[in-house]
Amino acid sequence: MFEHRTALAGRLQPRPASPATSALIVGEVSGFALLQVSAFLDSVGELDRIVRRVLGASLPQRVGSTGRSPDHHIFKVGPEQFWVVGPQDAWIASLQDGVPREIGSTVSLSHGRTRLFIDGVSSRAALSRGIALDLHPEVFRPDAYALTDLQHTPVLLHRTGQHRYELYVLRTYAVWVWEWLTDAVLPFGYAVAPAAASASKGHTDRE
Amino acid sequence: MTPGPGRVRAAGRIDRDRPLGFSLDGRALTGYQGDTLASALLAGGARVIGRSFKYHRPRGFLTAGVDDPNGLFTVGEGDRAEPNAQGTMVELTEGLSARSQNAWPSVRFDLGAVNAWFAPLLRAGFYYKTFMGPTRRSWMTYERLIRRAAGLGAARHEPDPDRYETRYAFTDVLVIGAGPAGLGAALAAARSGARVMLAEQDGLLGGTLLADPVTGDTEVWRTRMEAELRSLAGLQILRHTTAVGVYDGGTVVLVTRRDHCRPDPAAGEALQIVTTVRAKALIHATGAIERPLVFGDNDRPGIMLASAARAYLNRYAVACGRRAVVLTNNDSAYAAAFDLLPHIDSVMVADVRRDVHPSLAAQAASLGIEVQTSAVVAGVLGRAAVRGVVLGRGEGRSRLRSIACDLVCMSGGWSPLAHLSCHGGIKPRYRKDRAAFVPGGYAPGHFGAGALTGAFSLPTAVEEGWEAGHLAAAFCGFTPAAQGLQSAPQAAAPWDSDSHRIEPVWQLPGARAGKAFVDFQNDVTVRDLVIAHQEGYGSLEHLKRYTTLGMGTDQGKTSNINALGIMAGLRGIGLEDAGTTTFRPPFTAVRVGALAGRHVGRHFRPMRRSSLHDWHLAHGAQMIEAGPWLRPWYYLWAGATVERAYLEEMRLVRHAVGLSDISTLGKIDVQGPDAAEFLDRVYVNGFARLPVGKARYGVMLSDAGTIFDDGTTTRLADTRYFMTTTTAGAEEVLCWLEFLLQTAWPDLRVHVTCVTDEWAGMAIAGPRARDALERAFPGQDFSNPTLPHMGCRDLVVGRVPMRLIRLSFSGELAYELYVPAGLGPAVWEHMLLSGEPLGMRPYGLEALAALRIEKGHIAGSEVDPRLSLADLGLGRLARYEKPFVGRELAARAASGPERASLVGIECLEPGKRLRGGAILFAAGEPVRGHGRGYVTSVTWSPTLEKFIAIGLFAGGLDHLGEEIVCAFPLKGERVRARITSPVFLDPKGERLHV
Amino acid sequence: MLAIHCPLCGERPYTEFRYGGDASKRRPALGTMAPEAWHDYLFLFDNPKGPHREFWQHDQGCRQWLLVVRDTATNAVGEVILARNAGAGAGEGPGGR
Repeated sequence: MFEHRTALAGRLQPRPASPATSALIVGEVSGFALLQVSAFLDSVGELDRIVRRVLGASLPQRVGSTGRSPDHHIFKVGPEQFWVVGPQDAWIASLQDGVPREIGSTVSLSHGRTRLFIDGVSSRAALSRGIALDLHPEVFRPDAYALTDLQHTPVLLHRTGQHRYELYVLRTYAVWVWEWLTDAVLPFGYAVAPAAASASKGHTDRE
Repeated sequence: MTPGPGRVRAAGRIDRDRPLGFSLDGRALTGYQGDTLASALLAGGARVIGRSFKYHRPRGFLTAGVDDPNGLFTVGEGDRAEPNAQGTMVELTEGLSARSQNAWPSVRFDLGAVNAWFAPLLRAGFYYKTFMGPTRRSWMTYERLIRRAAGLGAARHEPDPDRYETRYAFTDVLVIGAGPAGLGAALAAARSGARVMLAEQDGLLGGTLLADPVTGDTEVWRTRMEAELRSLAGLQILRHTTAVGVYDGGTVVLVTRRDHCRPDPAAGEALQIVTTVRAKALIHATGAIERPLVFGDNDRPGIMLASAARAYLNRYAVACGRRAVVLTNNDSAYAAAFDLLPHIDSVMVADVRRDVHPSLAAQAASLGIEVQTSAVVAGVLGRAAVRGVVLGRGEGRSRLRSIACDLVCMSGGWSPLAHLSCHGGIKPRYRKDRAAFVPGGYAPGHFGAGALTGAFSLPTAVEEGWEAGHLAAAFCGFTPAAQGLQSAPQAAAPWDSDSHRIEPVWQLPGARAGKAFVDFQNDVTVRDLVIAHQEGYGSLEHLKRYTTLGMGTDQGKTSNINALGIMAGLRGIGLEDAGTTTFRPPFTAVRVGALAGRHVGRHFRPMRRSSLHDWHLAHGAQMIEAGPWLRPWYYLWAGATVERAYLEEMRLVRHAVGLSDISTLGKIDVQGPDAAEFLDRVYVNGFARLPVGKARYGVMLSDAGTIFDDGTTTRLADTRYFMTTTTAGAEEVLCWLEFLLQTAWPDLRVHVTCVTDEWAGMAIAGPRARDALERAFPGQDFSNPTLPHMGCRDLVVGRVPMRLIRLSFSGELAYELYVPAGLGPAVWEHMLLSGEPLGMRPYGLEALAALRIEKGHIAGSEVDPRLSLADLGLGRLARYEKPFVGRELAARAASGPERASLVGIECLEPGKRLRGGAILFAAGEPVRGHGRGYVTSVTWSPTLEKFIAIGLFAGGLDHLGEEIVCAFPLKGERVRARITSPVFLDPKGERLHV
Repeated sequence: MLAIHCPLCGERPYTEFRYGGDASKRRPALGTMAPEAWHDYLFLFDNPKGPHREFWQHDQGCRQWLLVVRDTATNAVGEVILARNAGAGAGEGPGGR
């Protein structure tokens, strides 16, 4: 009944393809769910057991390395706090119901974060215009991520491929960051990936 | 084309096959690829290239590099005109247009030259004495004239059309300077496997080697080194890149100039790039610059540094004169004499030292160059250009003789460029054997090499660089490669000796006539230093400010050391005890545009947009910036101007129903077994006993017991609350809650998460609000028993979870509806569509604010950390029997009849208006001083048909009904008004409970 | 640029952090009725040259409040720990009394 609208809906205008070999692709990833799960100080072990039971993946030990299942990424975002990113399906409710309130809490952030991506050989050079992180391929390896600052807003930067990075940005700052991103890639030439065709309908994760 | 009278047959580094046309003051000139503006002008025979700052004396180029104080030009046209560009640093490009700066009002009629007649006026301290004393007003009159007559360029007023970028970079080793030491250092570090960045200010690598003949040994070595460095994958070479500052933690800021590339901003090409580098290790290889000698009329065009004359000759194939006198106190200047001789008519050397090393004397003799020792300069001939020098021998002036010449190559020795190593606060150290200040030490992981350290000879500099490269790599955990260094030319030239034979002379004896300049750019003379000393400004930091020595674009690069030496002499102390002034970033001038980078225009500051933003834009919302947010101010449906529209929107809310975007409110999810206890501690009022499904207004205090923030918090479940904060306070509140949980009460089992972005919020307000909900969500029960005022319920509509809280900011029956942000636009549209028969329309921020003023609700202007609960009439809210943040000091809050507290104010004069910020006085008392209070919020009330306001007034509601005066001195307004209750509308709240 | 080594995220420029004031003093326990204790905690500060214990929050990162020892003369940052781990020692140390 209610159509979902991503933060950049209507702003992903196609551009003439750039002939430059350095050219980049930027776009928005849609159709994902993000659930924050947190344990209290002494109950991370229990939370880990719950997450393993539901997702088949362990909580990562340190900020920077992900936990993974075939369908999920788990980011550690605080000492006992994690973000689980996966498809919009039943795992969300299972985790929401599965974490007893004495152990910890869950909060849906699926709408509060917008997921952008940049891909291409110059992606690292473009990101260096705003990210104060050493993205040297041997320092920031594939699947590494970091919580950092971009244009005065907090972002999670995730290296998802050889030259591909994803940025989780606050939804209300998505346009601000997008304007920065499309400006940062300008010198290299860039194309905008069209919005995903199947914008998901409705909303499945509960509060 | 003609080569120009100054161009000689030496090979140089210019490309004679690529002539370039350029212009100076509109005159068409030519040069070659590889020239600088300075070398091209000198090739054309130019001598006077400007006039000096105070005395308007004719000046020529003094140096060939970054230290030149004289040759400032405005380069470029229109909105691209850059003032104060150093001609020695501007690379010639086709079509370059330059203007000389300091010949106002014209070259022929030079008003400023009159200053020379009144020279005594302009001595040290002139500005202070004349304008900062009792006659300060005269500064207002004369400043414009003086500034205009002075020789610095004017900033343009147009927006800069060029693009600038800022970047971050990371490396193991950063080498600053690609002279002999820097080249060696970069090679050693890179070979060990470390990531290396090599930053060079010049467009070419080699540093001082670039001033050597291109046919010589050093050039062979230079090109081999460059080739090898280029082949190393881990090495990044940045040309045209100046390290302008070293900051905390060894962070270095580099500025890369791409001006010569004519970048196209439309294609994203940057004119300049500022790179913030974090390097694990840093190698300072910034080299040294030559310093002038101080004697009378040492500023005449044609008198330049020996190293400059040599650079113009060997690099640019330009002889700056036909008859040269080399005036020196050290060996290095002999290189200029030997190199110049084959290309010009005559060369002689005047050496101030008594003895010259036999090898130099022998070489000079073999070339037929006369060397006069114990030389003094008794005078300089020529005004617009040097025509000769009067030389004497020793202190006596008996054996004077005039030497005709059109070029004087002077050398007072070399000054290491220790600026960067001093940026971290480490003072330079005087090295007596070099007569020079060298870095006094280095931060951990920083290393120095080459001429910077006083290693002035080529082989030693290279060796030091090599060593520093190894040390830096080892500091980063790399094992130095075994492979040896491409050995530097071992056969050092006779002038290039490790012993660096020099006799420091800060002021040549003998010359009594003429001004002896110490600082060429600021026209500071020896006489000024003497006056400063006599008047008690002997400390170097005082001297600088009193005489302006070392100010301006060159920041004393050529002048500092001589001034220090002379002042030390006047004070009778050694240079090692005199110290130096403080070196601060930037090393060279940096464009403000480069610092701003892309933080311009729409990238200037963060902008937050609610998920309904695009809908607002598409439906006639006029947006306004509110903190970081863009919010609908008013909608065009209600009127073309805000004055009309918000009143219409208010009427809608008072009489029907309106819809407003409140997504900007701070929203915090509070969860955990101790959530209730936590909220009891942070709010002055109680939340532990708030029933599930109920909302409560709460106020937070700071530790100091004053107002921090307010909002409503709803209990969603036993262990879960949904907190809202003010829009402005959202970030502060979250950080404060986290601070308390992480530092003060880590034992509380509570999680707080910002969900401002997760939820779109909309207020449905007006007498028909319930009807609107029933139409939008048929079948749901919104009746008073199910959802009373301050009640909350969750809805799931079409699988969308929604949260509905019955709250009112406007004083009308109202609800706040929260939906997941991505569904916000769809639900918003649905609400408006289904509410259309009720006349439902959106309303904006102006109406929202006016509605709450009518109701007397406090908001941003009243949530003031200077105020107490009692000041805002909230005293009864606090539950002092429980502990809460700020309780102890809140209990002691100031009170009494003079304390200002919240009141309503109504305007008594139809046709006049109240204004925010107006100062309040009792009727009849003089309007003077701070008054008895002030207006915090004001609006026209369509309900009451008058201007109303809320504000703070001494004694508060004790004065209910009294007449007051609202004064607004900025507009000269005084308006009669009356103190009322701050709740102008429905004081019993009947509208809320319908 | 001042850099702080966040125990969770690694070394970051100070622009990712929010300064939270002097950490050398012990916060009076909740409910402490003595106004003098709050007065001293809120309004009296040393201004040491040298090591200084202070709070910083990594608010653009993991949002953790940190206890940082910073040298006020050199801006060199020494030990950094999560503020919650400072425990009973929160009032002790180089900048403490």
